[in-house]
Amino acid sequence: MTVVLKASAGFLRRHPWQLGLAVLGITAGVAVIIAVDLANGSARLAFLESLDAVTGEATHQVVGGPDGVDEAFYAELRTERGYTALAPIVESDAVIRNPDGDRVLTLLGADLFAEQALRDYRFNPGDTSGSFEDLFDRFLTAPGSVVVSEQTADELGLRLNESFTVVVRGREREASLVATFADAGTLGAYLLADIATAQEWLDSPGRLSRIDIRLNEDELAAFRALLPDGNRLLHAAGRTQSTLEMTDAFMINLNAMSLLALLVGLFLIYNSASFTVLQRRPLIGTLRALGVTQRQVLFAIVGEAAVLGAIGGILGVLLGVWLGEKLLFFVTQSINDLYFRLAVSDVRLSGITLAKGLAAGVVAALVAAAVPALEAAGYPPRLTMARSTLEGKTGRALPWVAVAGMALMALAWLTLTASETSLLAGLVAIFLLILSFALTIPWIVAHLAGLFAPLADRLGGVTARLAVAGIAASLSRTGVAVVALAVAVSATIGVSVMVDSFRGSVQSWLERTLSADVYLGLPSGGIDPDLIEAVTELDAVEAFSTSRRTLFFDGDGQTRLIVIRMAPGGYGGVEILDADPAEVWPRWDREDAVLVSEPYAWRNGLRRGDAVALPTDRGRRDFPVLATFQSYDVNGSGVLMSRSVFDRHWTDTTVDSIGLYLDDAARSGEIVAEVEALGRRFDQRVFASSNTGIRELSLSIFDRTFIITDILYWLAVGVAIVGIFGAMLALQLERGRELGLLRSLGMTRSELSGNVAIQTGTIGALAGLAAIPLGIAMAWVLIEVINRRAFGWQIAMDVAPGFVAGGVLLAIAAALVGGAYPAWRAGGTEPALAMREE
Amino acid sequence: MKRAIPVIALLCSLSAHAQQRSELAELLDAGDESFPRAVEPRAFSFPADHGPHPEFRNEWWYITGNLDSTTGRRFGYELTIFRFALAPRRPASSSAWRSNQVYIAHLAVTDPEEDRFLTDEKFSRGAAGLAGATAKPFAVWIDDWRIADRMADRSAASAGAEDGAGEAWSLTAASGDFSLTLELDALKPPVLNGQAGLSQKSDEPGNASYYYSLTRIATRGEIRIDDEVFDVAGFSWLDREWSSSALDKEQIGWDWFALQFDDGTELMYYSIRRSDGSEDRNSAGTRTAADGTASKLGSDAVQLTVLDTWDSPAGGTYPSRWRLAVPAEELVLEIEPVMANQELFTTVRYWEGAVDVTGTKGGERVSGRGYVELTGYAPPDSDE
Repeated sequence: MTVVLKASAGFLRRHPWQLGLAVLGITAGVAVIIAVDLANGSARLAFLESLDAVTGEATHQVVGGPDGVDEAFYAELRTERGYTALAPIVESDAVIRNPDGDRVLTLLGADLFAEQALRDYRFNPGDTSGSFEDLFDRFLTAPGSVVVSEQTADELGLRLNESFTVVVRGREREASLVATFADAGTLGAYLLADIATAQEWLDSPGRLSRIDIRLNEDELAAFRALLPDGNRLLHAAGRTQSTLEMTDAFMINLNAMSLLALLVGLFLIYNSASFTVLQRRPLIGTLRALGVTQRQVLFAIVGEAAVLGAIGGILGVLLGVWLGEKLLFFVTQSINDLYFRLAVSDVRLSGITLAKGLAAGVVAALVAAAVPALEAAGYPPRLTMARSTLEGKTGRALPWVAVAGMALMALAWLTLTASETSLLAGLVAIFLLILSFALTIPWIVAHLAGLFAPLADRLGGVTARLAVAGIAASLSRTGVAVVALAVAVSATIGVSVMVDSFRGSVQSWLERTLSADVYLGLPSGGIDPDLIEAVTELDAVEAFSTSRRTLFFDGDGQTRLIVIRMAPGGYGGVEILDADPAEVWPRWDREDAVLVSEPYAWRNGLRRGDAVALPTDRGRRDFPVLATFQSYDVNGSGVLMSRSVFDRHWTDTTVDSIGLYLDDAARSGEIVAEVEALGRRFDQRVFASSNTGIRELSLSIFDRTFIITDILYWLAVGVAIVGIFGAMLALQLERGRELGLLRSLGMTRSELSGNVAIQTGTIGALAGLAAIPLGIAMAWVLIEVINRRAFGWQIAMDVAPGFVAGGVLLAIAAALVGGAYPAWRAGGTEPALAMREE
Repeated sequence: MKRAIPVIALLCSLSAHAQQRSELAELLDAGDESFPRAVEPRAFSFPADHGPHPEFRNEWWYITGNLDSTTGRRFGYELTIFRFALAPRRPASSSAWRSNQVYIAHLAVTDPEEDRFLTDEKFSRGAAGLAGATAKPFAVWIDDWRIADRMADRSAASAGAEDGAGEAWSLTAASGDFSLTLELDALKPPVLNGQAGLSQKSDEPGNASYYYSLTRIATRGEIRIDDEVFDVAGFSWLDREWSSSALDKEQIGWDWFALQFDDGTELMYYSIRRSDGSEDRNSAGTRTAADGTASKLGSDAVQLTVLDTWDSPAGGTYPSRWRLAVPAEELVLEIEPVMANQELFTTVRYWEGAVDVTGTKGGERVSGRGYVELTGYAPPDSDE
């Protein structure tokens, strides 16, 4: 056995490149899995922890209509009904101005006296300000006193006992930091204030956002009987769950991207690991001839792979953690852009994630090494040393592998058609599709290379012909690398086409939806009625629309209600998908009926003629669905209701945004300035923008969301380049003798380099070509299956030729980059030396 | 290292009942000039003065009582509602939650037969209807713990009912496993303690409170413990006190006695202890005759001797039996708790419990019942 071990160690020492690449392959693959897993997991955990901290021991929440819960009901529960484990909450968004970009936090107006029954907030004592009671005194009695987490204070440059400006409902308020949370960043997204401060800032005396309460199952019925009309009791856990579920589709898509990177990584691991075995076939043959048994050879190779896998796995974990921190920033940003306030302090290392990454590295290395090891060990000693055997065998196996690929493709199709709405099945289908292509690609490449050879001869002479013909002959070396490159490139094509089609659809939707010339709004709602009047009475304003968005949480999910008072010209902005608009709109304005967005209808299995139950101020009520409309609102938009209908069932009069239709669209800029000036006059900072401005903003958020996607597929391409580099290097090393022969036959150094470059370039081109059908198929599945199943969106697929051509060029470039060093090295081949090597 | 402060600790720091804590003494003695102080006697007026005096820093409604059930079982109870002003004035606000007033309440039931001492505590801001006090009609409450004018509550239903000459109140308080529902009827008019109601607590002028008592309140109603309900009757005692500062730094605690004798008289005495172990000369009491006539007892008129002690399982040694003598009256009393462990583990630890009194007055046997409060005995580091 020691002979085998020595041989193994000696080989790896003499081939540091091989060793390095094998480890690098494993490292890169593992790193990507770890990074995405950590970023997603950390974001999710941070959200759950912060929600846990602010939910505390509350089991339920009492919520009301859009304007919340009457605080008198809370007092009644305490003073007349004897409930003690309950706390009032007044909640809203609060913006803290900061030179590095404004930060939006969740303002949490709480009653600390009541809080102690449900939650355990802890504060750091003030550095200088003395005693506890002083802190508590000020928090309760000094308007504007707030607490944030220490980390948030550091990031925003807030100091204890100093005042700063907070913008709540568009109004600038003076806040003073009286303490920081002792919370390790869990409450990083929150701004805690006394409930009185929150009501003052929101200008909503008498109203609570909700009442958090701890109830036993057997208390529920009696408690429900006390609820005033329009108030509902929700499960706290259910609300957390439904909030989290909003991000499910987003996270699943990210995980899918990471699996893609892993898959490419696996090819690379297989590639590297199997090389170290293939290269040693002569050595193995010699060992076998010296009397080493099959078992011993097998154990040595597998053991070596396990060690390499473990080393690569550990390095991959380290790299993955680093990469995860970078990714986390983008993930957090997207969640904040799209879903809810989230502050994630740092990557949470989960043992499971790390073990998963490490195991992936070791298992992949073992599997990758096992196939060639079994093969090598199984051959009679002398035969093992001959290389032609292997090529011959590979060549014979190709068609069968391709057939298996075809079968997988059929399976992918079956999965898609049989699974109907399952997102997971959609993802499984994508991976089956990738595998099926992976299996067929070598066969395709072999044939394409055969077709290319005469062409190469005509174009580049013998050098080129030799190079191209060598491809098919060396598929045992290059096949896996080609597959990895093709898969990575097809992913770039597929994802690019999907994102581009999506962007196009969103763009035309925005153009249509934003039909007014100027918009003003307050994200947290509550535009001053006097300001509304002043704005809509501006001379240039011919007509206006108003909207109000409100979120209803319910037993098993949430519904966003969009209440619109349409301007006469505004109806065209909503595209009705399944009914005649001329018939729908008059009924929508008059009857107690609604429209639902396409994603909402998809998620809730609704269609025209069904009804949506909404909690009105006088109890639940069914509203018939008149039709569905197109929407790419990430939060699923939901239900569209006419303001006149809303006013019949709810008392809330709030308006969140206004669309102004001008007599002359060219005056938009001027009107935006006027609206901003009016906002200052009414002391309310409304956001005002022309419709082009909003469109640009929306698209920039869209683009920001796909940054992660970009990063991930560039990672996949990076991994593929490393694979190609490894494959080319190994191939050229192997070809040392052949190259030496060519040199001695009179080929110049540059001809030799050219030979290698042509070979790698051609491999790239073939991989690129093979990637086109897979890329387009992937785009189709992403658009028609994944996005539809995840979000309910219908996107018009648009294959821009640029992306396809770009993919092929990327493949060629990747192959050339990967092959550059081997080509340079080939040029330096010393004929005599190379031939004497054996 | 910074120490994280839980909210409960903040609340603790407010609960200034046991004012022996040096930091609490500092808090109370901070001498914020914006709070008025009790410097001279004032004219008391009832029922108005049963209501709150929110301009003063702290105030309490302190009810204790000894009750017997119809089945012959003995009970003691305490319901205390404290009011603290965090700032002299309420900041202007559109929010009903904005307040400078904080209310804290302690509830306790002594059940010697089962050797049980049940307690609970509440906190609230004095705002949004959650806690507060009113003079007309009289009411003081925190959540559903409430002491209120029974007549006023009733008159809402049947106007022109008997005009309450004395105090006719109701008391309700429920905790998870026990509750009280009592009717309170004062049998004597309010007794003004100290100098016409000005109770000097240390030598410094202004370190005083306004202090009166209802020394004998006929009490009947229900006590519920777990699922058992007891019909009870007996006598209660109300102590009312408000001030903006009270103790000085050398005063580490007090022993307070409120005794009701079978002959229809009462005796109240508080002994303030100094850090050097001596009794402060501002210790004082009030003797109330059967007809309600009250006379002041100075510290030199009363001899208090500790006969026994009790070690709290949580640390600290409390006196647990006393001899109290008033030589001028030839009154010699022995005071003994009905149960040793009547220590409250509220945010501030103290002992407050029902006692029996036996003794002689001019050679004649006297007996009675009462309540004793002992503060400043818990070691500082075992406060939580």
